[in-house]
Amino acid sequence: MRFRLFATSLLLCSLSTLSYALEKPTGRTILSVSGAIETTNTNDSASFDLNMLNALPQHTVVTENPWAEGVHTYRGFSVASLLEKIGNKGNLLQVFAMNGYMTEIPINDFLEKGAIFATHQDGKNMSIRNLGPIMVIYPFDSQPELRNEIFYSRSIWQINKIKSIVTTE
Amino acid sequence: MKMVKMKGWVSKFKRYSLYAFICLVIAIAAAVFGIISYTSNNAQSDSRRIFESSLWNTLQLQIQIYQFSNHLLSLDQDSDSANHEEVFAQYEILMSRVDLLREGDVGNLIRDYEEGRITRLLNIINGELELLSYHTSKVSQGDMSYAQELMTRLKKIELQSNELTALINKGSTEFIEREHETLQARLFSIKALSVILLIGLLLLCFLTLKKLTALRKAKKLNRSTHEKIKTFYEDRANIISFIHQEIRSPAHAILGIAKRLQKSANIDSPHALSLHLEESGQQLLQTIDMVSDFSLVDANKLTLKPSTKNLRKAIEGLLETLSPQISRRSLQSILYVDPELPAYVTLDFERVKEVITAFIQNAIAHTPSGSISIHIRPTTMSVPISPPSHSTGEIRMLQIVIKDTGNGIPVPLQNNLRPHASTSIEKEPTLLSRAGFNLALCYKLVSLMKGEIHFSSDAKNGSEFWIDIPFHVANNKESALETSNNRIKITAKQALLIEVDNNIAHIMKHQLAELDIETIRLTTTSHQIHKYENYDFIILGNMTWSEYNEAETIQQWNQHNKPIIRYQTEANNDHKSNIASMAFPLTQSQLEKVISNTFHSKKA
Repeated sequence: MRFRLFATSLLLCSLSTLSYALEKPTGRTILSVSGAIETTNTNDSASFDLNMLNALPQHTVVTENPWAEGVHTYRGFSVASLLEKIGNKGNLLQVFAMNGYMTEIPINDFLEKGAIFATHQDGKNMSIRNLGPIMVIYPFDSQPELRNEIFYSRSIWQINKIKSIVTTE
Repeated sequence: MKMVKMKGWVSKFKRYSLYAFICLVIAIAAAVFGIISYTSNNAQSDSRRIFESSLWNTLQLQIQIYQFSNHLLSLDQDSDSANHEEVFAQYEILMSRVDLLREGDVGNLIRDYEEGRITRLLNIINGELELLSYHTSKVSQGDMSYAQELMTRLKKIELQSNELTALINKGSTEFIEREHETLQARLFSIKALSVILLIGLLLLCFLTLKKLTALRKAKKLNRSTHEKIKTFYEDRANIISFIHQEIRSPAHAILGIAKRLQKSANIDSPHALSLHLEESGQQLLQTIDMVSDFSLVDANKLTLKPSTKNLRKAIEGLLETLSPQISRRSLQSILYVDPELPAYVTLDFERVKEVITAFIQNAIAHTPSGSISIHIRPTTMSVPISPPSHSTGEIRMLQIVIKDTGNGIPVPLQNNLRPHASTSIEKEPTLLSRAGFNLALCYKLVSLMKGEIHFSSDAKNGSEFWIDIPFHVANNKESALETSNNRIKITAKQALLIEVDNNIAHIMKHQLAELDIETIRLTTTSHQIHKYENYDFIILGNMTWSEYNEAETIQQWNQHNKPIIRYQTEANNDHKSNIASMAFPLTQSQLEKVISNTFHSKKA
């Protein structure tokens, strides 16, 4: 546990030093990140349109999930790239859905368990009706131990806001 | 054949036991697997999650409808475009919630609730909302003329949404009840499987313990078998050693005689040679018989062969045969058979002779000088519970007492013999190595005859063995007839016995008492020799002429007309000095004959 905390802190520090100025979104903002971050492009948050998110390094997860029938290929950005861009200092993310629902996700879920913020399902942009535009997806098929209530509850969809916070764990 | 059948039965039983054991292990494994399957909560947790999701999504649908309505209410012509665009987003969120209720795990679960009413209702709501997509799109573009109708239709959907929530809640309650029943059934199954598992484990423990016990027994048996094999080899070596030892002497004697016969044409004493030859032959035969009997007893194949014979004659005949062996060691022998015993008895004479021969040979080996006596008498010892059943006659016990004046049995050998002087001697496989062939065979034969052996021994007084053997009283009339005919009438009433050897004197007294002759015994020719004058005859045994001259004393006795009987190695009547002689072995028959002749000739 201590080792994991140390590794996370080290990563966050490295991300912090590598951060640089963030360009403003040119299209409709679909995600805004606030909280313990150093780089912003609006008042106190970092706003992203779809192009900006697509420009981040992309990752793919192929899996089944309880909310869509069959196996789907999800593609999206890594949280590491996003947090690097905004100079993150937090170790926990509060992720909000468009309807106000919120869940807390440790950053390690993205770093160690391979979770991604998916923006594409089977190569297509995810509409709001298809649980888009952004959805947290875990590799349930390749890691069956993730098939439990904890990770199902963290699989939030229709994301529009993220808040980075620092816990004293 | 019986053993083979028994083995077959045992092997069958063992095979079935093995099958039962395998079945038990399979049953235990099945029970464990069953318990694990029943206690596994993956399926339960999945059901619970989906069930909770269905309720959650239904409530979220209601909330979303309200949020959509509220957002529409907050709009007017002056609202900015972002707010107008938000209308479509709200609509999409609402539709996504409907999709979640219709598809995926949640959709599959609630599909069967209320016999499809929920599915139908969801389809209606979905259809109604799909129809609103045009209105929504118009409002999101800023055309508020569609807002009122949108609101009115949303109100209707609100009512349907309420009904949907109520139906899903009802269905969920029933689902919970079913799950509860399923869990109860599983709990019962787990209990039953646990009981089976417990019984199975207990049986397994029991079987394991049994097998361990059997294994321990088998190991013990194995050790015992190894010991027996070792003892068997030792016994075999001892038997071979005994055969070698016993055969060597008569074989050499036969070879010696053969050489003498080959070398010299004129033999001085052909009769003596032939007797020696016969004795050696008898010894060889006897050794072979003993070895044969020993092997048969060991293999439990020796069967007693009882016959009815005159006891005294049989034993006297035996002693006559052994006499050369005894006299070669300068030993004297005497026999007395108690007249209280029936003249004819039924027992295995050959084996009894073997036993007596063995004990006499043992006595010869341990007696450097003196005498060996055999006294056969009735005993009050109780008849064994299962005596040898070879006759229907009355069963009694006789006791053969063999006493010598030797050095006694060595103490270690006595210790070896003592615990085994009973019928349990058969169970001792090492008796041969501890007691030697002769005694081991004796103990085995006597045990087979349901008899017992006891002994007393010390260095000063020699050894005395008591052999108790059951016998059947012969039912023939010859016995009584012979007994009454053989009674001789002797006029003599008192005898002066001069004998140093207590053993011989003791038996001689018995022999004389049977003829109604009282015995006055002196151990030496002291002045007491003339103290007694009422005796009718004198028996001169082992003695020393300390104070008196032998010739004068004998002359005096002759003058007083006192017959003299003397025993020596060979009978040789000295008619000049009126001395009748007796030869060893001193038997009753010989004594009766000598006394009868003495007093008959006297009368004549």
